[in-house]
Amino acid sequence: MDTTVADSVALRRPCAVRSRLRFGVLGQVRYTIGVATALIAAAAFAATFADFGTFENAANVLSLFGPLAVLSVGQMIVVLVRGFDLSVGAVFALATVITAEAMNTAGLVGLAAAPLVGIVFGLLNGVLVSYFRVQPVIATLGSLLLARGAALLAAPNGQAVILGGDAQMVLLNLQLANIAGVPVTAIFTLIVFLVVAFVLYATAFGRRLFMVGGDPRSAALVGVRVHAVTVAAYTLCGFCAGLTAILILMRTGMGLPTEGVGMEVQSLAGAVIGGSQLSGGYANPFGVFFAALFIQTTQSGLNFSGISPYAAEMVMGCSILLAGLLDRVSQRIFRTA
Amino acid sequence: MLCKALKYAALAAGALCLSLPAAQAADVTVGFSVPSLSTAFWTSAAYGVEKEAEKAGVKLVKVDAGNDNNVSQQIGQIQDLMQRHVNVLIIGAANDDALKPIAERAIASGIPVIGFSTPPNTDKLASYIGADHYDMGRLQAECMGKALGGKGKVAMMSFITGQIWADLRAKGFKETLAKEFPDIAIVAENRLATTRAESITVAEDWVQRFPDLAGIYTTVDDMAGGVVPALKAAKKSVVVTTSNLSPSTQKMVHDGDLPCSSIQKIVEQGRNALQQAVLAARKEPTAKAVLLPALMVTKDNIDTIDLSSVSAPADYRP
Repeated sequence: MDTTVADSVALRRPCAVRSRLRFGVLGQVRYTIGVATALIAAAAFAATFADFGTFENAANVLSLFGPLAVLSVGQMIVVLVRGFDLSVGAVFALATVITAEAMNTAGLVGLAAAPLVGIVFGLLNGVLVSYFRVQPVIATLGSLLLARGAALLAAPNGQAVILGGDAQMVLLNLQLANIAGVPVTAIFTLIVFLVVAFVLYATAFGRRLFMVGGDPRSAALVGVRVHAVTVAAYTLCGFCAGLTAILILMRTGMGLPTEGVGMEVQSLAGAVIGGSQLSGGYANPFGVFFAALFIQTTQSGLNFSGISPYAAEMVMGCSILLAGLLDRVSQRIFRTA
Repeated sequence: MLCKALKYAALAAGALCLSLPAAQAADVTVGFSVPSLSTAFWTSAAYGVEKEAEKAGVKLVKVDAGNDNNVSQQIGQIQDLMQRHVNVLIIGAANDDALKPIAERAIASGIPVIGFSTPPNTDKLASYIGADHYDMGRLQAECMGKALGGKGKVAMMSFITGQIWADLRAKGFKETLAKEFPDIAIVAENRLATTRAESITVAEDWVQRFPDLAGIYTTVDDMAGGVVPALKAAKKSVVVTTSNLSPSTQKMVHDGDLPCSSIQKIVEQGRNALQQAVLAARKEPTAKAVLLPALMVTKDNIDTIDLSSVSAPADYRP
């Protein structure tokens, strides 16, 4: 890692950087929206349905929110550096297909293909956005179509790729497995979040991400290699999409070329409800964790309800709007405090 | 300040609670999971299931994966329904192999599963409800045979291989022709075309290769929708038969461009699925498979035929 003099000066004075990025206590309030909405949703549904507020169902919701959570935290990293990634849904679909085929020939080792596919597409997005200055919407829309087409081509007849006997059972059993009542997939998700938090808050790279997101020009002036940091951010996002593919394989036991439509927008919602701002500079894995939990809790609750699926979509939409409003409202309350 | 925040929170919780109906007390709760309620087939199916649930006085919980491809979403929704302790599940699978493990898990946990039209690929289903696709092919053969006066050359667009329903329709057509109209010869069969555009190309090839071609069988009405106008434009009088009844197909039958279409009773399938589900939930014997016979729509009956067993009324919202 090359550290210029200016860079190390900036890193030695984190307080100065932090105050500029509104790192104070009041600035943290925005990251609690996810927690608040998740709690509200859980309480509302638990009050309505007897079977909702049980430990069993908590484990159920936790076992389901992984894919969205991991995608969202990846999205959070690119949103932090003022970008976004529309390709995550298609990339994880492609990753499931390639991984299923790799596992059918090489066994469990083939699982490594999932993060690799994600990294390749993340790199591509990052290079396009930073070095070639393609706008994120075009760069990642292009790679979305690229990944979707590749997924359909890679799968025979464009159909799902079934995992062979043993490998499938290993993955499916992992989806069901739990440690002290906590689903293994939830632990997997938690580890991803802890690693991301470590990278953001305890490494020089993490600080550079915040610097690039907060003000790329100033970051460049103090010697941060903005392009390289941006590429790394997109690569991490792609990596997360690859990890999502593993979670999907655990749930379905198949490579699914057409999976993940609409997940790019949901993951953006997860990142934003979790406290990110599309203009960059903000990120908090803790907030995103609960934002994804909020979305899954609401979805599960609506599945419990038996209301019209059409109406359920509207309620889901209203809940996301409510979360957005709550963010604004809380900012007004706590800024005037 | 905190009070203000709490007030908003309470408001939000209240709004969420109000938007949900209170849980009803019924002895049986049926979970119904479909790939996509934005397709005509599943909407009509949901209508049948829902009407029958009202009649039987059981609680119905419908979930919609939102898209024919959302396999993992559908699995998650079924997981939710299992948590909700529904007594029985009706599943139309987005992917029959992918839904197998979750269906078997439900069955192992004591929740019987009814397969609907595209069932999860397991032999442990309490019952299977679907159309009699063989019968749909048989009706097309009868229609074709009559329209051709019992003789001539016929070609078949039988949809891609490996789709069991398409295979059954083609089988019903072939066997019925062989039995009832032995003077009709099948001269070609295509198993690649599925879309309107592909069907046009195939039909154009055929009329070149077989100048005296008298009839074309199509597995679904999308194909006929391509073939009929193309033949009309080429001024060829070839009899085309098909299955299913989209609005444009209704018009073609009405105008006499298609002599007939054989259709499945989708609403009726929904009703039967719910009936079998209630039987399974009450641990009463179920029918292993319920295959509903097809209906024949022709120019003569299209304005009078009762389609209430086929499709949901236009004002129905799942």
